[in-house]
Amino acid sequence: MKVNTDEIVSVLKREIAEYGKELNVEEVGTVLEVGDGIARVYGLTGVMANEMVEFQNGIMGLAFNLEENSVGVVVLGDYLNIREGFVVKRTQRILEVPTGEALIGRVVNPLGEPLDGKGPINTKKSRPIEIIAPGIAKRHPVHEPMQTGIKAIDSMIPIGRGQRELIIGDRGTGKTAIAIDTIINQKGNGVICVYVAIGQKSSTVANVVEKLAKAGAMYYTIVVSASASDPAAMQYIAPYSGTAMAEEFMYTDGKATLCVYDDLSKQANAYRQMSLLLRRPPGREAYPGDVFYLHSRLLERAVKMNEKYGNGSLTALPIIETQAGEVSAYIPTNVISITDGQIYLQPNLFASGVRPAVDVGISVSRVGSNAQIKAMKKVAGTLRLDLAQFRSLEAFSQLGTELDAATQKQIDRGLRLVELLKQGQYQPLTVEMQVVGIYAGTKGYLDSIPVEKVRLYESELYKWIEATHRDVFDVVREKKELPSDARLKEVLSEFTEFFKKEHK
Amino acid sequence: MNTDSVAYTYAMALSQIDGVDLKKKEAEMILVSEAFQSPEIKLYFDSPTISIADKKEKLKKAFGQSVSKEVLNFLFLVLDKHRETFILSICAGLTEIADKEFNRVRPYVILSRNYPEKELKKIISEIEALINVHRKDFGIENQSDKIEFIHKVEVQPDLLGGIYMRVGDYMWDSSLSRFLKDWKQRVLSGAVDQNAVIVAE
Repeated sequence: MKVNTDEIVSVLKREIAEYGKELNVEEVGTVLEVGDGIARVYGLTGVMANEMVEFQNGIMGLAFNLEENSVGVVVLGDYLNIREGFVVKRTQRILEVPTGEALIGRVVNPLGEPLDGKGPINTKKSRPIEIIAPGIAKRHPVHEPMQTGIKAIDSMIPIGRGQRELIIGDRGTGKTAIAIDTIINQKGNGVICVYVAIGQKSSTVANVVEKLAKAGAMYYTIVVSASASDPAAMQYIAPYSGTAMAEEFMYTDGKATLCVYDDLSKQANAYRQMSLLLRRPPGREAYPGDVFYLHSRLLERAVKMNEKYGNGSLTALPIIETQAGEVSAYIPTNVISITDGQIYLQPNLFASGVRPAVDVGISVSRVGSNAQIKAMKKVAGTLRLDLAQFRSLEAFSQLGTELDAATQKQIDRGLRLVELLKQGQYQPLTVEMQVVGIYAGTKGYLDSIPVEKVRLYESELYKWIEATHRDVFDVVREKKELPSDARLKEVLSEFTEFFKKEHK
Repeated sequence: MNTDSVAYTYAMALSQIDGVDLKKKEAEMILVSEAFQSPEIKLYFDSPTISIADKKEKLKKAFGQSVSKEVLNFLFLVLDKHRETFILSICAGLTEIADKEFNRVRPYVILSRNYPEKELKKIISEIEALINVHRKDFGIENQSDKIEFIHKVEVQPDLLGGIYMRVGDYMWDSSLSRFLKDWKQRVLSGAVDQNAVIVAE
């Protein structure tokens, strides 16, 4: 690049000539005290709640507490560089973030500033991070599936576009893995994904970004990161920023979007920290009284818009980390009651090798089968029933008593179905594969296969159908219907015989 | 001005005491506050180990001749109510009340360099005229009465050029440094055509 100084001078001259034509009086205040990321400011009489303010050294802040004699400002940057007596200027703008195509594939902080070293984000679009969620008139009931690519979820806990499905579990149970798999599975679906990392280690976020990039998912994904070392305010606004970025695509382009908030318990902790520092009265578990509203106003922005308003959707996958399986703690119960269902991950299932460790017994999706294609609806009904029967009989089998043939058969079926629902990480399956796989399991084609060979059977079945009987997959993919029982029977019997011969 | 509500309440009460002119009360309180700015005096009056009676005695000795009976009684009351730490804030509050009463405005002006007295006067009069015209923009409630200006002028070379002015909670920054900062922001955000200034090799 060569900088043309003459041109600079001429542009500057023009700017100077036009400068100061109108009187720009700005409202200011003075920093009284600062500490722990909170500045108390005197002045700023007309400041709005949630308005961005600018300290004299360029650091931004958020007017958070409007009190009688001062304003509690949350510092969105390094508060150690702010001193008593600093001038604070109003910006007359509610906190907003840059939005648009330029953000796709980028890793940004909650203010939309790049963190990936790939240069500035060239966009002129921006959106306020907080908006009132659309009302009933603009919404359409959730009806389209948001495929996660995970058999256990898509079959029994289906998620629809515009739904809010909580992923809950202890640490190390694979919560993030489910969210990442869901993002990876959106490849080629036209869904814009936003992954919001809150209070995580930067190395973990870097790892997620690498995994997404490796899977080719960064071409349609935005990563918003407020890591553990960022101020509490950044962690507090991160989910709202991510949602605003997704909303731009939903409202302007009518696109389907997916937002993952990983995780909201850390956001609640950040909010608690800010509230206590601002001397708001603590309530249960020291959270402030409005911690429910913190999450409800965020998750209420998940929506399936009706045709008149562009048909876009925003699906929310909030994640909550429980402590020792304590789902009755304050934040988990709050978010469970806000969302349209939850995927519950069990540490003991995870330890026993059932991965994803989804406890299908207590996981629910309140949208139900509305968000499933017809073919999946047909096969999944039997699956749930078979697994429920298996769970009730499983206890008997552990007693070592002799069982009648029918009971033994049900237990054997259950063991194979549990094995069938196991799935490797970063290996999302298409809906047609899931349908055929589950059909084989529920119709007893796996009964004669040893349990340890079920996963091999499954993976070879998909390859075999893809190579020799594509029409089976085509019917499910295109017509969303289950192929005729006769056709499925023919294909599955043929393959089962072939597999048994091959793996004697 | 920065006064908390307790101090402001006391200042309001003092301003409403009959018998002494507000201007006189203000001048007397400024005298007291100047004394209280000394760390030793402040330490003495803030100390809980010294009795109120002793403190009153000292106050009477120090200000008995120079302040009115009403102001002295007010100071005694402040001591009785253990509000001695608020004396400086009360004085600031009283000044704020007097400013409102007498329609005073205190522009804090920063210039980039020293100007000869004649030029400085001209600048000041321009500033006064500007504030007079844009009273509402500067948060001045009284739109009709004549304004009494009390200027504070400083020189800060960082300004590069132009004027920075603050009136209460309102700021008018027409400095060159601000202009350059804004311009940089506009170039970075794409509001100014970068092709006009950068030629690719």
